[in-house]
Amino acid sequence: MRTSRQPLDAGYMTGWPHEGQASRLIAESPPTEITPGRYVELHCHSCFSLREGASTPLELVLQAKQLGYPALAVTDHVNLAGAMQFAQAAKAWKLKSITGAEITLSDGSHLTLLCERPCGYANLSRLLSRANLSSRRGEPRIQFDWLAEHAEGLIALSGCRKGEVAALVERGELSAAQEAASRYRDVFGRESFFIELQDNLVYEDQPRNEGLVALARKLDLGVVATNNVHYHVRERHRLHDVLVAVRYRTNLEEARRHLRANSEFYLKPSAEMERLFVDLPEAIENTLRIAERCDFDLTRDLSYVFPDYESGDGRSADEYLRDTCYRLARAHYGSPFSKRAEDRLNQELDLIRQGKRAGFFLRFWEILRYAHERQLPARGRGSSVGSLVCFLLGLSGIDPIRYNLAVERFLNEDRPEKDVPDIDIDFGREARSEMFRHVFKEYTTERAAMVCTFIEYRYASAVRDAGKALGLPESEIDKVAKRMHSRFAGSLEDELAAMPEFAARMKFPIWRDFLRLVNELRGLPRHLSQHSGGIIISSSRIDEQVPIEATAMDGRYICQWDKDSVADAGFIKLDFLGYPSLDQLERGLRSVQERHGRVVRPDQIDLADPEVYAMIQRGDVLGIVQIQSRAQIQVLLRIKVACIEDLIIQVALIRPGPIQGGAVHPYIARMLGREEVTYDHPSLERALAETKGVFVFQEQVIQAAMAIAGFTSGQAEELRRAMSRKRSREAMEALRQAFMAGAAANGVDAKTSATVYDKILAFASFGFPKSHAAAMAVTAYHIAWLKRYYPTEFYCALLNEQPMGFYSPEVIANDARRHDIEVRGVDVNRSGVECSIEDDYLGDSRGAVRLGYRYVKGLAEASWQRLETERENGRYASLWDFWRRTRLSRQAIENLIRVGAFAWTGLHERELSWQLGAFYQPLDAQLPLAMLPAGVTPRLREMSQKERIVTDFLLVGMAVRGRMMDLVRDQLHEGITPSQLLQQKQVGEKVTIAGLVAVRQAPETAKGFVFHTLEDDGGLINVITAPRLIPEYRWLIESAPALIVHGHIEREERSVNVIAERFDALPIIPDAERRVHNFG
Amino acid sequence: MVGNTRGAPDPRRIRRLKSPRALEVEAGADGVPLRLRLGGAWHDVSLVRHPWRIDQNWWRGEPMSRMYYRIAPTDGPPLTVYCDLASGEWFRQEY
Repeated sequence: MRTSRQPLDAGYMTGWPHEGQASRLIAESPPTEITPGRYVELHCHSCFSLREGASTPLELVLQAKQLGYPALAVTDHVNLAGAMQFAQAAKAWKLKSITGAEITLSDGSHLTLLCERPCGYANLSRLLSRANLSSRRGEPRIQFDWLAEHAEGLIALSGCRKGEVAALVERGELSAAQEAASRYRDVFGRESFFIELQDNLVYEDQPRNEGLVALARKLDLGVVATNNVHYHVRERHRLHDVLVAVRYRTNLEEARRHLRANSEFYLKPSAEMERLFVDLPEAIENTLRIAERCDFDLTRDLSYVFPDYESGDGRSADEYLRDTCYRLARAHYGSPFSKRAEDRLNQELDLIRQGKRAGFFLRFWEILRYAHERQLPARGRGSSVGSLVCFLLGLSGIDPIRYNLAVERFLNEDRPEKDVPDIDIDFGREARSEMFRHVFKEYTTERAAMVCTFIEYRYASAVRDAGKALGLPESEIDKVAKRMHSRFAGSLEDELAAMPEFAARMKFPIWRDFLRLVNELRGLPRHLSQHSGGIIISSSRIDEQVPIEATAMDGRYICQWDKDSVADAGFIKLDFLGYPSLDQLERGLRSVQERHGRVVRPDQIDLADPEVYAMIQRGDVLGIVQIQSRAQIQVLLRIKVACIEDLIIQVALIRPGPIQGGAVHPYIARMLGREEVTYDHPSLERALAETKGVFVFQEQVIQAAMAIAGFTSGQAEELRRAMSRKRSREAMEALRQAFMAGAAANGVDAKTSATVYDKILAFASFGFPKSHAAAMAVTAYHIAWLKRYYPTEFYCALLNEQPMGFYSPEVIANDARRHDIEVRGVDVNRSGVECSIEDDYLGDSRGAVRLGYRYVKGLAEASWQRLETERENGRYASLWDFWRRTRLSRQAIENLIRVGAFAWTGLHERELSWQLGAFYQPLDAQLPLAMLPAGVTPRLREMSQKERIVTDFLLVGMAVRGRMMDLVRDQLHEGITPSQLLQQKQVGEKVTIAGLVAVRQAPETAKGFVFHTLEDDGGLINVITAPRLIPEYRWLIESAPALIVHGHIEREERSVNVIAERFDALPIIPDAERRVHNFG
Repeated sequence: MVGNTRGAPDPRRIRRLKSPRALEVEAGADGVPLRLRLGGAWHDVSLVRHPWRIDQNWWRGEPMSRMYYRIAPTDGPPLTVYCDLASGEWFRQEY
């Protein structure tokens, strides 16, 4: 017996007495625990019910296992986004998964649908797709009429209290409720429509359930208990409340009427559910019956088939592929072609035949032919570049025979059917969009869809949403969010403790709640977005495999699964990735043709030009993709990259895998002849000879596992894959044991095999396959060639392709100037929309690039075409003439005036602005007469040089009429060493340097070190900061756009770094931070 | 006709709930009240309605978790009581 003051536990529950029965319940002893497993939850939301569900599919699965459930349904709200993740997790934990969804009908009412058979899943997926495509974005609704068309294979439960039947019963409209239930029964059939009873100890539950039971009896319908689960354990209800507040974009106080009354919406033990429905055991028993009926397994029963290829002349896809490849090989190599190439071709064709993938390759070939016929910039990346078949079909652009690339990473001889070939193609930006349009046109939205990605809560977003929900002051939340956004941020707990104003608050419950909620929120999906380039095609309807929805971009549709779910489903994904460097190269070569009449195709560029390598060896690589990072330049200055093979290694070397695997320094030392090339075991020589005994390429992991542990290529590839993913300690230990056992059987001693295993393990996560590095290196070389021989075209193309995610336009423009290329500001009589090359350059210049309108802030895209058209009608005679002909907005013209685009008029900016004010009329005003405005311009002060620099930077993104360094010049003193003189300094010599930050990096592999690339008038300076300096100078290191650094010189060959010892601020406009590129 | 819900409420029509009063209750292991003390005497009680629960205001730093029961003493009118789940204390809620 419980006394009146005895605290109750959190799981406190009671049975479900009716009036008149309550005394019987009390009179009896407490219900005995019923054997676990008699109840199955059939109405359960995961976190993929966005801003509603507060537990992940895995948490739900684990809790269901803990509770002894034999099965569990996940019924997310109008989507199947988490269905595959749930099904896979359930399968891994040996729990039966039931796929379903809670749908919203056009009147706003809910209905729970469960997939009994595969056709039911197809119907549910089509219903959801149809709702997505025909409803307002974000509010998918299903029309009742559609249910009849798609009812087969589905079991329907009447829904939560928002279900049509339940809501009518709750309102006392019993005849309408009966009519509604009869309609559902007629659609789904008596056996497949159940009245859903939910008892969450909410005040209204009892009368509603009584009404529903009476209705079920009257219509002879089954009843079933569910708990409308929104979180796996009671403690998570607070997060659920927060998510509801986030959904309504308000705080919890304001969201009160939308919150659930209590915390009873969790996965309950079977015994508790049985107690709640003690007078209605059939409601519990029916959960098991329904679970038994639901035989659809998403991990097993999808009907996806990749479209095969019809040759049209009776040849099979295999025959057609073989004939096509031989024809293309003869065309490329000549006839007859080498035995080496023929053996390789036959090996690949055999693997493709065994894997039944000929149709896949031919389909891809067909799709890519569209790009090749239109000369769209396209090129393969990844392991597929190692395939000769891919090269011949135009899917890669790199000849694997010429570059000695292995195919094992791409086509695995042990698992030809299981592995789906992974072909990634890079396109220029426009080309990529065109390819998407082409695929959707060819395959239609019924057969093609893009892969989605889930944007997850990170610390900063979790802090903002949880803080707002709790009603914490906005300014404080902003402060914490910004701090958590920092690259140096530790855990939220540590960061709050380190902020004096917050440390004391941790004693208040609301801040403790905040801390816990943020941590719970992190990692949950926040919204669905478009994957960078994955697209799936199917021979059957895509919308029967996975629900699809429209994207914000016209003509593109995404499915509700991310790349992992798509891979788990066995869908074949084509990856069309955007690679603006291809546009840069293509645009540059087009300029070469236009200006010099020289037609250059990338594949004609000599890959052995010493002049190009000399430039690379000087570290003059800014703007050259793959080798322009600080770390890359440091290595380039130490070793001499003298051929394309060196460049391929260089591209792959500066990656987390080789860095963590300790490959970089031995490789450099061995290249410089300072260290002997050695191998941990003689059998590794074949695999590692080309990289001087260290692991640089993924293929080498495979080859080493084969050599040391005697693995087949398939086993070795599995080892590599397993190592590259997060695994449990037990799984990793099992891998190690298998490797060690194989090595022992191969006669390799334990110490050696352990050393090799550890090196492989350190490398395995983030390395490039050689094939991918080769593709990247060749593109990098082509761009380097352009920079060496046609620098004006190079910089013009580079500026036109911005943003490209590396150096800012300001830094690029400065580099161009250091190469004697003028960068000229926008001029309305000379600029086009894009940057262009001008030939009237002066004196020592080697060329001039005129900035295009695209660079001017405030000029809408719509006005570009008007400017292009008007340009063809001749020069503008005056500002008034410009306005009369273009009718741009006042703001746009003001901005053009301020960046000096009317300097040719002889008037300065303020005079021009005054004039504009005198005659400007909005667009809808009467057109002006062709006459000059009257009036006298008063004497106005001209803008200062600094004002012009700041204006240029703010409106064009770079200083055109001066240098950003001019803004800080008066703060510099004689003791500051310019970048050009650093090479002359001795190792260990103290220096003070100053400059604007171009790049700021704190890579995970650097163990807390921070790297700045500063820029002064003469060039770039590398600064290395040890972690011990961060607490004292955190703001300067992390946020300052310009710095004075006191330190000493460190030199390795020609690579010079300044090792920071202390920092001083170099005040400049805060917006200068925009020129900084931050990397992780 | 629906009144203007956007305007200021008429203070004459707003009524505070009566403050809950502490109560002595004996409950079963499942938490359901068995007896309560009214007017100095203990009375057996029976449930007259399914219980209900609220969990609110946790974000105010004063979490309110209560299990409510509508019960009737033998020969007495029904009344609503609740158990504060944090403290285990019982209260009578009058409306």
